[in-house]
Amino acid sequence: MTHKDTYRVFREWINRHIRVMAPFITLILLVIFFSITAGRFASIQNVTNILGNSALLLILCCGITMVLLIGEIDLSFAALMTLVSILTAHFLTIFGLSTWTIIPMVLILGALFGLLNGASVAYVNIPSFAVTLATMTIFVGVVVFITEGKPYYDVPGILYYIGNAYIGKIPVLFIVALSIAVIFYFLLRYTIFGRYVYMVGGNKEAARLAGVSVKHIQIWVFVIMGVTVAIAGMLGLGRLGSTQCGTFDTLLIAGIAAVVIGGTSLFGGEGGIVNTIIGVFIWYVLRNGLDLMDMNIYIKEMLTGIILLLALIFNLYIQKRSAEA
Amino acid sequence: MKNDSINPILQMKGISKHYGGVKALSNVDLDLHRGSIHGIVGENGAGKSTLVKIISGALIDYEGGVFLNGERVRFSSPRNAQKKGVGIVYQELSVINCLTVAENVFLGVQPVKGGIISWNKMKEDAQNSLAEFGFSHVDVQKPLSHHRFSIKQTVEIVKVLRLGAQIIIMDEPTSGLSRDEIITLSQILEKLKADGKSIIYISHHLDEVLQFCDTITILRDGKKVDTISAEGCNKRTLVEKILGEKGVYLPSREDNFSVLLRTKEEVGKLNACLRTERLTVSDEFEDVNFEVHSGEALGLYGLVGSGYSSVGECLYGLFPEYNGSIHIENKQVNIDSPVTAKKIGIGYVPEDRIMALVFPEPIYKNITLPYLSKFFKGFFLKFILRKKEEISASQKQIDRMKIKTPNALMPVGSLSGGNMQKVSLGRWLTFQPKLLILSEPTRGVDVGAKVEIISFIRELKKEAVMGFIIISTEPETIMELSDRIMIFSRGKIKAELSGESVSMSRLMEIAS
Repeated sequence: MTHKDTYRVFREWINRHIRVMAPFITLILLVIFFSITAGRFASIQNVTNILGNSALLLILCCGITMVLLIGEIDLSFAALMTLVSILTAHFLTIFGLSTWTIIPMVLILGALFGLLNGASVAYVNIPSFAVTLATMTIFVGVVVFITEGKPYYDVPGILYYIGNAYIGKIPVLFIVALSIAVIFYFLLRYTIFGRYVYMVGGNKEAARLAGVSVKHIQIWVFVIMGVTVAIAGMLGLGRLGSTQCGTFDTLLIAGIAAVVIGGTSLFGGEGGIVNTIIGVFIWYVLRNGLDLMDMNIYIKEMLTGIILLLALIFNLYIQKRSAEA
Repeated sequence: MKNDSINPILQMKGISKHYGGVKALSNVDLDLHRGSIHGIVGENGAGKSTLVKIISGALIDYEGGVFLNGERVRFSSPRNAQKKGVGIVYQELSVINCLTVAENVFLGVQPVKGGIISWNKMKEDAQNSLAEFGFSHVDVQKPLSHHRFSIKQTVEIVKVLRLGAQIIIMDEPTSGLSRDEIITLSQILEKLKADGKSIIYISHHLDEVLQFCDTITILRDGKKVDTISAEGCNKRTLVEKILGEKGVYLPSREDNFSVLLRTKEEVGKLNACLRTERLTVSDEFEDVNFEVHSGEALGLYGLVGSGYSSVGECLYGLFPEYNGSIHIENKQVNIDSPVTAKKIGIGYVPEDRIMALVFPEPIYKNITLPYLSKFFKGFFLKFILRKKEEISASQKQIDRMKIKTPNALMPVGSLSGGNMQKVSLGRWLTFQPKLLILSEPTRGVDVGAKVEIISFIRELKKEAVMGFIIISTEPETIMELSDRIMIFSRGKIKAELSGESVSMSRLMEIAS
C-alpha cells in the first residue's frame, strides 16, 4: 500500500465518521488551547474535577440525545430534576422513608412524569416544545408548593457516597455516568428499539408507513428520559448535599447545548451517544478552562457563548466539506 | 366589435419546444376567440402543461409566435403575462387558507388610505366581487379554510380578474369540486363568457370539457391532432382522437416472463385474500365493494382526485374512521393504523418515495425496517440487531430486484428514483404479507426501471402467495399488471373490466 492509498483510506474513514470527528477535533483544539494558556488545566487534579463536574450533565444528556434523535425536544428536564431531588429529600426528611423505598419510588415517579410528556406528544399531538414548556412550569410549581422556598439538607447516605467518593483518582459519579452512557450507547446502536429511534427521527412518515408504531417509540423515549432525569436528580442531590427551588435550572441550557455541540441534530435522526460524550466534555472543558484562565469573571459568560458559536460553525463547516468531498 | 369576434384574441403559431433531445411540443397552432371557452385535452405528457406555461409566461424559451390581439408578443415572465391580461387559475390554488376571504381577494393590492389598510372598503369590495358570481351569502371576514373549494376557486378567479385578465387559463378546475359545485362553476364560466373574457380550459374530465367548451384542441405526443367544435362531438370520438393508435393497445397476456393476465374464471378459482363491503371514507370514496385473491392483481384506476388512491390508504390503516367492513381471508378485521394493517398481513408501497424511505440511512436499514423484529430469533436476542444477517437478507433483495448499488451500506438517498422504488417494494418481500398494495409503482421512474418493476411484479404474481392491489393513474401500468381493473370516478366504482374488455380507450372513456 502506498502513502497515497493510506491517505485516501484515512480520508474516507474520517468522512464516514465526520459527525463524531468534527466535535472531537473541536475538543482536542480546546484542550490544547487551555493546556497552553491556563497553567493548572492539564493537572491530574483538574482532570478529576472536570470528570466529577461533567458526570451529572452526561447522565442527563444521554436522555436528551434520545429525545432529540426522534426529532422532539424536552424543556422540562431541568425542572424535573430539581423536583426529583426535592421529592427524594422530602421523602427522607418529612416521611422518614428508607433509602431503598425512596429510590424505586422516585424512579417510578420519574417514569410517570416522562409518560405525561410522552403521551401528550404522541396521543394528544401537541408539539413537544409546547408540552414540555407547560410541564416545566408544572414541575417548578410543584417544587415551590412542596418546599415553600425552604432548602433541604438531608441526603440518603448511599447517594451522598456516589456523589462524592473516589476510586483512585476517578470520581464514582463519573463511573456511574459513563456506565449509563454505555447502556444508552448499546440501546441506541444494537437494539431494535434504537433502530426505530433513528428511523423515526430520520423520517417519521416513512417509519409510520413501514408499520412502525411511532407513538410507542415517542412514549418510550420520554419515559426513559424521565427515568434518566430521576437518576440524575437523586445523584445531583447526593453530590450537592442539599437542594432547593431552582437548584438545577442552569442544566437546561447546558444540557441541550452540550448535545447539539456534540453533533446530534436538532431535527432528529442523526447523532448519538459518542457525540454527546464529546459535547459534554467540550462544555466542561470550556467552563473549566475559562475559570482557570485568570480573567475578568464578568466577561466569562460572553466568551463561553462566543466560543460555543464558533464551535458550532466549525462543526457545520467540516460536515459540509466532507459531504461535498 | 364585429372585428373582434372574427380575429382571435390570442393566436399561437407554430409553437415548438424541446427539452434536451425530447420534443415537448412541435408546431402547435391555437386560436382563442373572445368570449369563448377553448378546451385543451390530451394524455399526461401530451404537451398540455408546456403549452400553458408558454401562454402564461412561465416558459420564455420556445420557437414560434404568440399573438395577442394580432400583435406579436413574447412574455418575459408570468408577471408580465398577467400585466398584458393573461391570468391563470391553478389546480393547486394559490390562496392562503388562514387569511380571510377579503384578505385573499386583495392579497398584495390592499386598498390603502393614508398608509393604513382600509378594512371596510376591502370587505365591501370583496363582498361585491363574490356576489357578482352568485356568492352573496359568503362571510368574507371568515378565514378561507372555513369555506368550500368552489369559493376558494372563485376567490382565485376574482383575484385574476382584478389584475386585469382578459384571458383566463383554468387548469383542471373541476377535480376538487363536488357535483353541485360543478354546476356553480358552469354558471361562473357562463358569466365570464358573457363579460367577454376568454378561457383556456385544461382538463382530463372529458364530460365537463364537452359540456363547457366551445372548441377543443387535442394534443398527442406534443403535436396538435385536431381542433374541433364541441357541439356534436361525443366522448368516444374525443377519446379516440386523444389516444390515436394507443387506444386499441392491449397488454401482452404472455411474455418472456410467461405470466398470464388471468381471465375472470381463472381468478375465481384462487383463494380469497381480501374483501371489502360498502367501504366508505367521507369526502374520499363511497360504497366500494371488491374482492382480491391470492395471486391476483386488482387494478384501481381513475383520474387524480377520484378517490381510487385513498382506497389503498384506507386498507393500510391511514383512514381509521372508515365505514363498511374489510375481511381478510373471510375474517372481518378492523384496520385502525398501519401497525394493525401490517400485523394482519397487509403491506403498502406508497406513491411518494420521499414518504417511504429514510434517505440518509443505508439501503439495508430501509429494507429491513417493516419486519425488523422478524430477522432475529431467540427470546432475549430478539431485541438485539445483527448487522450481518440484516445485510445478507437485504443483499438478496438487492440482487433479486437488480438494484444498482455497490453495496447495501450506501445511503438510500444516493439511488435513482427507479432504484428507490425497488427498495420500497423489496422491503416487503423477505417476509411476504398476504396482500401488497402498490400505489403508483411506476410513477417518476425511467423507462428501463419501469419495465423491470413491471416484469418483477408479474413474476411475484406467478408465485401466487400474495394478492396485489395496483393503484395508478398510468393506464399502461394498470393494464400490464392487473387481472381485473376497477375504474373510479368521483369516489365511486364506475365499472369493472377484465380480460378482453380492457383497452386504453375504454379506461379513459369510463374514468373521465
